[in-house]
Amino acid sequence: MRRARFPGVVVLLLAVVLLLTATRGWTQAKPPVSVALVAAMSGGSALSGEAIKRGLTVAIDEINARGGLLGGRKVELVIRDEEGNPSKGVTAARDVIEREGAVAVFGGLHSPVGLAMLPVFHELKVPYVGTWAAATGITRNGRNPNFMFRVSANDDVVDHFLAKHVIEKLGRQKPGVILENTPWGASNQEGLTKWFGKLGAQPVGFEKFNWNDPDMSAQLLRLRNGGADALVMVANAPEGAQVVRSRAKIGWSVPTVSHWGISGGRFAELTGDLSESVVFVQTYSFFGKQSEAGARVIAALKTKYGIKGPEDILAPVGTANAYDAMHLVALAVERAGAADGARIRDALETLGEYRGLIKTYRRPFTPEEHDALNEDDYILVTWRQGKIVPVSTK
Amino acid sequence: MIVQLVFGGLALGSMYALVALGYNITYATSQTVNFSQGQSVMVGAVVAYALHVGAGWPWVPSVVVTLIALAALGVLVERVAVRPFLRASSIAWLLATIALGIIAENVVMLVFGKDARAFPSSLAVTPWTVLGAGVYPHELLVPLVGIALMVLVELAFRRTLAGRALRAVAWSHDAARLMGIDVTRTISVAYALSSVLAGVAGILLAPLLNVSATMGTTIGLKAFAVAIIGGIESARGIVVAGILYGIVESVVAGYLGTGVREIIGFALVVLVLLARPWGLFGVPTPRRV
Amino acid sequence: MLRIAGALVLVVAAAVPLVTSNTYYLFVAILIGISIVVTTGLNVLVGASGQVSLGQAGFYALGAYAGAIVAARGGLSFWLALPLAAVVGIVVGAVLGLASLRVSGPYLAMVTIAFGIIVEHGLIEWDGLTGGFGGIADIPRPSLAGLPLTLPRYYYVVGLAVLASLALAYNLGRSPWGRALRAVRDSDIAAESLGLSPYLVRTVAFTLGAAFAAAGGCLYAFLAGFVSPDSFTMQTSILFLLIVLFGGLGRVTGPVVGSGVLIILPEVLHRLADYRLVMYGALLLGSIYFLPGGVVGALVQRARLRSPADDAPPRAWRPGTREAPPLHARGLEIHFGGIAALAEGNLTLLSGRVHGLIGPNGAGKTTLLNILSGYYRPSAGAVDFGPRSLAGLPPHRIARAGIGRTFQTAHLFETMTVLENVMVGLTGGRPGSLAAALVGLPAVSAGETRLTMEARGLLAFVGYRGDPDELARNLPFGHKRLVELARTLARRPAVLLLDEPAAGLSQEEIAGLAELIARIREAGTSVLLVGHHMDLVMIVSAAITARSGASGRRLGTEPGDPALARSASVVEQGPPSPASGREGHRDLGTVLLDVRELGAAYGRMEVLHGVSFDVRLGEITVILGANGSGKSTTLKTLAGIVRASRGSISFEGRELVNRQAPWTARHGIALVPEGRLIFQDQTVLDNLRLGAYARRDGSVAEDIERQLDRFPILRDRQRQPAGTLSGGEQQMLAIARSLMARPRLLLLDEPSLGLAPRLVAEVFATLARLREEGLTLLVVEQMAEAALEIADRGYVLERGRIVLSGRAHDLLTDARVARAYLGQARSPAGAAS
Repeated sequence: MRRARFPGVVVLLLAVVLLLTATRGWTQAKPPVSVALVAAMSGGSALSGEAIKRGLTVAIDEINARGGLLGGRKVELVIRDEEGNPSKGVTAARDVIEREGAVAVFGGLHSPVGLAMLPVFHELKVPYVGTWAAATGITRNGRNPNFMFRVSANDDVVDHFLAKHVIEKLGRQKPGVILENTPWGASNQEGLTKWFGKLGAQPVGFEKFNWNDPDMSAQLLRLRNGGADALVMVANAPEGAQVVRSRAKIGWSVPTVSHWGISGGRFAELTGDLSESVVFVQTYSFFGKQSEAGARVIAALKTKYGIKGPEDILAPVGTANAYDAMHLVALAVERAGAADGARIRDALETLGEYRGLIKTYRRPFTPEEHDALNEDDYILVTWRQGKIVPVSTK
Repeated sequence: MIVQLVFGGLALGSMYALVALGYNITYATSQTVNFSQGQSVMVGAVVAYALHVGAGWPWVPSVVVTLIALAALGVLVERVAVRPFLRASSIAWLLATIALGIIAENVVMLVFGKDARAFPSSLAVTPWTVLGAGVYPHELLVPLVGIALMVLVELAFRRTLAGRALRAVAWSHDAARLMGIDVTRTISVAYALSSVLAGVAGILLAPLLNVSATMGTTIGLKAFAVAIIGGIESARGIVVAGILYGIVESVVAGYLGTGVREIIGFALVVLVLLARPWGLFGVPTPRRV
Repeated sequence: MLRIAGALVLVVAAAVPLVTSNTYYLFVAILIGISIVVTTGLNVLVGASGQVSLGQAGFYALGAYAGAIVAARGGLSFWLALPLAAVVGIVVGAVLGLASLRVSGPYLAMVTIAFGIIVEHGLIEWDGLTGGFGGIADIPRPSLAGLPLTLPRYYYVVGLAVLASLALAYNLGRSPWGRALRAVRDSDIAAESLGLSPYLVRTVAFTLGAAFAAAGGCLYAFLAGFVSPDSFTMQTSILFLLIVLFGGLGRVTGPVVGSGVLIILPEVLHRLADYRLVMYGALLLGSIYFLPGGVVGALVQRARLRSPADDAPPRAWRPGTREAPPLHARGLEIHFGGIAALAEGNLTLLSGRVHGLIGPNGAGKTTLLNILSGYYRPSAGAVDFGPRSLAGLPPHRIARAGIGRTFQTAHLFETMTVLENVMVGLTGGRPGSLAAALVGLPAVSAGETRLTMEARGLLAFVGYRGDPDELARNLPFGHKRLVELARTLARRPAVLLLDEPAAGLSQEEIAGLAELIARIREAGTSVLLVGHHMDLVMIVSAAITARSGASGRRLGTEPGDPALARSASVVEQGPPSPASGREGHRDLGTVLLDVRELGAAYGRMEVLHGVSFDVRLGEITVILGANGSGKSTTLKTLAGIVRASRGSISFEGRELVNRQAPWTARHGIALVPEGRLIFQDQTVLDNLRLGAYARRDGSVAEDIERQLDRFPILRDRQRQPAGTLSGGEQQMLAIARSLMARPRLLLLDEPSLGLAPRLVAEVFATLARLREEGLTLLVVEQMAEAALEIADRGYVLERGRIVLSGRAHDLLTDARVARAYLGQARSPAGAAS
């Protein structure tokens, strides 16, 4: 061991040096326009980062195929894994802006990471475009100029939508809520409390669960015993499946309405027939008849990532949001006429119509409204034989 | 309601115990544990999924091959992350096994994907009603198989020569060597066994928990807590502590809410150690002066 | 050279904000600085005191939130928030440490893990105060005298914090407190004997670690301007621990290197995308494997901590002590696993006297000593020290009351130098002010000079002439004894308990020791001398107590009384048997085992220096020798438990050197180890079955029957756990178990250990019977007479060398053997009487 020490150091150092050189990219003739994704790419929410990455990549491929931006500059995507840790998010945000020269940064699932990075974007004057994290405070932060944008649901709006559906459409007065014990769950607890209150209903309880919990019957029993007549669920696919299976297990049939987290393709696989007992919010569905953009995206995903059909698009909302967000940023870059964060920010606020995947954006952002999606863009859907179908049109 | 909670706690608690028994076996023989035992749980589920669902094998060969793979993983962990550090500083093996766990989790993420998959079990489709509580038959199967397996392990330790040899190593390395027992190999076997137990837990839990690269982390940690509460050198203590911990957790979640579940659970661990520094069923080792 | 490198690093670090305005680099550099602060504290805990914490992120979080809350909610400034956060860390750390540091190893790891998780979830649940998941966002940017601390300015603030924490750690390492921490890590048993409370010392280390972590957390909160629970998971705790290990445990610069590399590494690995964490894990594994001492340990051999007092001249040390009241022990009893290790423990040690305590191994001498010094709690009886009752006090309290002791195997602080060992003794349970030690007040370095001078004087007093800067683990055994004695004397104990101080020493060394003990006594110190070595005890003792077994009696009090001496030796030998030596044995049988120039070492300490002897077929050969002469090591080397460093062992014509135990067991050698090493948790039958583990034939069951016939008592107990057997029964079981392997050579290590005379006779009768059955035996014994009486031939081992050999009958009557091993008074005439 004693003798092995010194070579050990050398081997290790060599390995690091080799890595550095091997991974250094080639410099290109015309400087690319860099955009960055700072999201969880590993750990429990790795899937969300992957879905966003796919949406961005498909959009970037389209843009580069058309010849890039600003007269032939290719768009380049830089990815940083924040591991769901706000400290790492802050470091990563500085890294992609300062070192990689990103002119816009896309954000991932974790709201605290978005909130933590907020001061960095304002300090370095680069716009952030959220594609998943739904905390209201990210975009409505009281800053002027505001560098935070979002092409994704805003919990406050979704919660209003859900509350209205439960009370007005279903005519229930005593909803029970079950949500994940995460920042996302906490944000919805706030929103649902507010909107149910405004609509004159009193939730019988807010129950929480942790990721990878196998059994939610305890929480559901408390809601049932509390007299809940409807179930509102805020969960991603795996835990949403546990909720629905636990509900069936305790023999409780109650109208179940869910946030969009279960829209991933696996929910139907994880729950089987039970999936049909849940209606949920959706901004976009890759099932059913597709628009031109939708067909294009599915085709691209098939060739690039080897998916077989829409059921393999694991977090469709993340992919769709990211796809539209990238195109909006591209439009803003062209409009700004320069790869400059502050000018892109200004351009985003004044963009005109864009025919996107989720909808046709008439005026995506205004100085007052930095959320591109609003209540009118939500539809209620459910599962039928492993496919998502609309239940009502609004 | 309490019945419902107990059923839930029983299934998970028995799996904590099963995984914790793995900690017990390696600790008794070598004073080390695999701090990434949770990842072994996960690998068990993932390999079984790949064989049974992915490759469409019938479940018996899937399980058999999975457990062989897990035994190999255990041997690997011992060779790579434990044996080189047995004589070195006390935390080298701890961090080395953690490093292996990081590698395992991320390799699985690369190969298997980042999403959770359903592990089909015909016993987890239609719930039964037992004592007024709804329960999937699979949830009943889990503690039954788990407890049966733990009894089997205990019997093997008492009735077979290999089992006695393992206990001999646990008692004294020198004395075991004098009997002609290869201590190094025995520790390797202990790691294989420990890993297999974790793998069984992974397979059993897969239909309830879904299969993903991160499914094992919490179980591994709580199983370690269970091993400590029970007294890491007391197999029986661990079985009791595991089942108790599962039930307490479930009851706390049912009556006080999930948010405080971890706080109360881990606070209990600390309190138990304050009252009994060697765990509930552990025996203090006399000082050697 | 090192200084230059250090200065270079400092200059480069100071220049960072001037060279780059890239906030990313600055930010990462500040993160590294914060990590250095946190891990420097953790390094005190893990590196110096040897405790592992996997919950450091909990303290880090508490500091961050404390700072965030008082600044964002209470409007306090950064400059008040920082010390406040450290205080929060100190309070919580002290409480957790006091509550949990009675546990160690994996249990402590679990407590710290649990603490981290409780904090993390507590932050989530207590959202009224902490903002729950959303955290606290509006932490004001700190300012200094109206000047906002922008990133480059904050960089220097953190830089100062880094320098401060490194200075604190450095000062601590060179103070009595630093030595106390390392002493507790190296041997908490020895530390206790010097009046240090390991529990208290560990709590101090734990609290320091918590304070540094909390201060670091506060620095982080003001850097990021935002805190939320997700930043403080167990991953963070693991990272901190990795940094400490990677940098180099216990090295002051370790956290600097560790933080630098492990914070930058993930940033660099980003390019690997999904393979990043796989690579990260692999690099960690590689570094743990290739750099066991961390980077710093690999690059720099540990430079001895030079203290300003290194060249201080020795100050003559004169023994002297407080008043030594008499020490009375009455009716002490203690049991281990059903076996009485001591009964009727009575002893009176008068002031300023040297009192010998003799008796065979296993008679409970050391057990008595362990009770007197507080290591064992007796199940009955009382210990009075003057007017004070000592029973039930912990060892460090007893040490502070003025009772010092040494250990049979010399427990030194192995990774510390000779001088440091003695200095730990000098400060004992009072390492002085912790704050002064951290800050490095001049008084502390003045104290160091004084301590160094005194320690040198003390070493001269005990006659240590080796290098005072040598690490204790590299010392030869005789020197270890002297250093241990010096360390104990440093406490100026009123009563000195010496456990077999002569074991393993040469005749000259023993003479020196006798003279030393006399000088200590003259200074007024009472000495209790536990000895097997009759010479020493007889020369120096004013009174002698002899114990014949665990329930031994006290036999006499006056030295030089032939009656006492005789009775003492009688007790030691057991009743003499009528047969004296084995007459008429075959002359020269076939050589079964031939040992040539055998050497063996523990670490760098050689214990056997070229031992040569042979064992002949069908004979009983006995090896005699004092404790520490290398008898057990010889047997262990033969059995393959200890590796031979040189020489050859030929058994049945086959070379055995470097064959490991399992191999020797399968090839005809069985060892009945010292202390028997029965598998106490398994039944008698299972023990026997394990004895046949190496056999692959079908007649094991018959052999078990045969052994049960041979030892009927075992048949009665066959289904009981072996631990419930009495000492004699366990010895029978140990012999039976080893016979199950059908050995051709049976090695026995002190089969008489701890047995009553009647049982000793029974054991030896059994051995004689085994020889009649054709077995060859090699017996190591310190009951020389009893062993020689049944033996054919014998060897005498002294300090790792064979000094005498011959036929058993001749040895029994040899004057030299009689003098050294049978008791001085036992002359041939005496034997005949």
